Amino acid sequence: MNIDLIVNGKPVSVEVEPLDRLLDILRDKFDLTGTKEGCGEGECGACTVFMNNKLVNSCLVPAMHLQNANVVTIDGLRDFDFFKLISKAYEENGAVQCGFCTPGFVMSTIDLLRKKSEKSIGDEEIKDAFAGNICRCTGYEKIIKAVRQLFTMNIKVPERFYE
Amino acid sequence: MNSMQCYSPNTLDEYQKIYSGIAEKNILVFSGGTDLMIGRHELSQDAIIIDISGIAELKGVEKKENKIFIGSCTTLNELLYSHKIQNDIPILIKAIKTMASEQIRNRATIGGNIGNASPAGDTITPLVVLEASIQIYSPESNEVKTIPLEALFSGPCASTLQNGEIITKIIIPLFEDKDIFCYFRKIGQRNAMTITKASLSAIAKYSDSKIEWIKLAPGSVSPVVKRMSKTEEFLQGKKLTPAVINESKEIIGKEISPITDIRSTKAFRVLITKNLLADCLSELINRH
Ligand SMILES: Cc1cc2nc3c(=O)[nH]c(=O)nc-3n(C[C@H](O)[C@H](O)[C@H](O)COP(=O)(O)OP(=O)(O)OC[C@H]3O[C@@H](n4cnc5c(N)ncnc54)[C@H](O)[C@@H]3O)c2cc1C
Ligand code: FES
Ligand code: FES
Repeated sequence: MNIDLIVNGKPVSVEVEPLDRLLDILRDKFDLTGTKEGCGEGECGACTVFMNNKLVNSCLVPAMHLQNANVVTIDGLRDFDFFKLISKAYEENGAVQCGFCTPGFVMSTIDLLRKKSEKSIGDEEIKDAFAGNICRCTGYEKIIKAVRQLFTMNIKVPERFYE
Repeated sequence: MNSMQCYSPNTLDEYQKIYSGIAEKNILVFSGGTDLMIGRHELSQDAIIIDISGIAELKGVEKKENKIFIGSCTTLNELLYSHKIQNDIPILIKAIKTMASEQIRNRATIGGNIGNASPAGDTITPLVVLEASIQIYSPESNEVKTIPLEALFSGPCASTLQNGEIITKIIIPLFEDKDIFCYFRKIGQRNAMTITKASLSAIAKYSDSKIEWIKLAPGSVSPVVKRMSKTEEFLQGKKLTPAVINESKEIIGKEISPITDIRSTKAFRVLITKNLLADCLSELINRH
């Protein structure tokens, strides 16, 4: 089947099988390799992207659900100012070790930042937001520290991207 | 993977037409896909996928005549953020908050959780204590029937749905009385993102230091989710003394029929279910 969708703001059209995974389409057809495959089972969050402005696991989204969808991946967010601030906070707090989980954590961080306007955030709330992300290196504490720091910085994240 | 046939109807009417046009009724109903995508390589290659996630009639929450109607393709996060559900069915909110992750809850549907018929399905035990019923649409007869949710399950991950039948709505009767105690707790490997080893849903009416009535449904400890009628009857009208709580734990321990599997042993599941009941009853006392 042929599907039309928007990826990082660009209208694209692609030939797929109904149950092909969004993850493979992004990586293999569009070379958007910032989005990673960890578990392929919805557990680790390395494949996290926005689909129609909602955070999803791209390993669980079948191609047949993508007709007219708006998909935003980590590669499409690099040039935003808020992204640079997030990346700096992760670096400064030692929140990146092997880096494999990082794109997924950053996507969840962006979702959290744009949903909450308050300047402070409890650790429980950060942990809830990361329930779908696994990191095997950092022990999470450093990632949580980075997020706590980001919340003090009053960062502006748009409610929608490329819409 | 070979080319699989797939259809994406926008209305139930279209669903019926597609169904009528298929000779071999080897239909796979597909909703959010969070269960189905994981096993996609094991799906039969000649299965015909009908993706119901685009059917508008199957989405959203409505309140009518003291009942809540939930469309089967409503996602878990849509329910979590629905004011109607927050105010009227707090036990369902408690359960959904423990489920999976933001990413999954944005995709997973309540109809899929029920359709999967897992004894570990976390929306099922709250719905069973609420005495929810479900509407089932049959494309064969083009009719809708309503059955109690409990009657849907025929075994672990097995339902009585016939080929092509879909759950269209979940119907939850509301209480006139707003002072109803509700409890949901699940025990898994860890706090976040965990498959239930054992869980307990309960609602109860407590007055004059006595249990007027209580409804209990544990998860993951029987082939199908069901109410604990013996334990409920025992507790009815009782004051919650330590002796009564202990006896109720023994009764529920005998009423469930857990198995040993990769996630837990039978003995451990009995122990946690008893302790969940004790936890529920002590919370009930402390609230009043
Ligand atoms: C990482 C991860 C974590 C999870 N955590 C939890 C958890 O904490 N608790 C929990 O209970 N579940 C959990 N799940 C399981 C799953 O997300 C839920 O069962 C979900 O609600 C399924 O909905 P879906 O729309 O994705 O179903 P699908 O995958 O589309 O379908 C599931 C089954 O239901 C059938 N079906 C779907 N819709 C209907 C319908 N309307 N009528 C009839 N049959 C239908 C399908 O044919 C299929 O057999 C988890 C899954 C993953 C991958
Ligand atoms: S690869 Fe998708 S969640 Fe792990
Ligand atoms: S930094 Fe290695 S998995 Fe998180």
